[in-house]
Amino acid sequence: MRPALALVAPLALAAAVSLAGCTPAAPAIPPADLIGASLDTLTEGPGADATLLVQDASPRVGASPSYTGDPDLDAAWQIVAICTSDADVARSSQIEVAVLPEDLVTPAVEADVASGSFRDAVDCAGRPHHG
Amino acid sequence: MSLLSHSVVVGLLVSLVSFAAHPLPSDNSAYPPPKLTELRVVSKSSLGGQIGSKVIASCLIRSDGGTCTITRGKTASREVQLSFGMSWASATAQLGIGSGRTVSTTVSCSSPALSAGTSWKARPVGTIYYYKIRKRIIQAGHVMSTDLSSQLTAFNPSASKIACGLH
Repeated sequence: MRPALALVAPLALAAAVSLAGCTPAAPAIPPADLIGASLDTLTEGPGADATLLVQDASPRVGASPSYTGDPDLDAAWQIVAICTSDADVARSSQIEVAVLPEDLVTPAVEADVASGSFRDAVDCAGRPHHG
Repeated sequence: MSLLSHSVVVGLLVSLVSFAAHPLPSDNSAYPPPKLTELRVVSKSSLGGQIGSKVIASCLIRSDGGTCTITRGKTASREVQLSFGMSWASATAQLGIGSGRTVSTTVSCSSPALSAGTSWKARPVGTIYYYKIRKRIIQAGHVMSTDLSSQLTAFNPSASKIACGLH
């Protein structure tokens, strides 16, 4: 039995290592996927552990800034621009977003966001991956 | 073999025999007592509520009249000056502060409405410690020498406080 065991043991180990290597990794989340999402999607999800800078871009649509940093109100804010320190939002230690209150995001504003008009609403220094 | 080399060989043999006849002592009494080095943090004082010099996060306003909020997760460095080879772990333990190199802050701060191009910066707030490190060499219960470092400082950032401003 011993020779058989000596043959089987390495094969079993190799199979175990191979199976472990096949564990699927979580798919990367590109920053562009967060454009148009509510802020809590980021702060309670892939950006939960990152240092986060939030720029209130309300003056760009004629409103006064009102973001307070209260995480309970993040669901009422929409991300209109984002840049991250890693191509995968979940792996980013630094994230910067520009936000607008949901009720200010009209179809016209949505079109502006889609055309990239808000891309310069974030500074992105040290956060080269743009949304 | 010359007379000189013969003498050397004989001398070597005598030495070996002598060594064998007087083996190393089995008790410690024949050795000098070991010298122990003692390092202590002394003359400690502290001052709370101090703003650290290093910016831990900075936000450049991009919308004229907009605001920026710097949120949780910023990392502030714990700084401890050392002397006489004292370890970080020993110094922080004697200062009574955490031993981690960094502290992750949990609070946020929002700027007022600012002009585009203005920077809003966050700095850590914490306690500054002033102290010296005393080194003593002790042998057989007697202090053989004492050295004292110059004035040293440590900064222990708070996780729940930051200071934000334009400068």
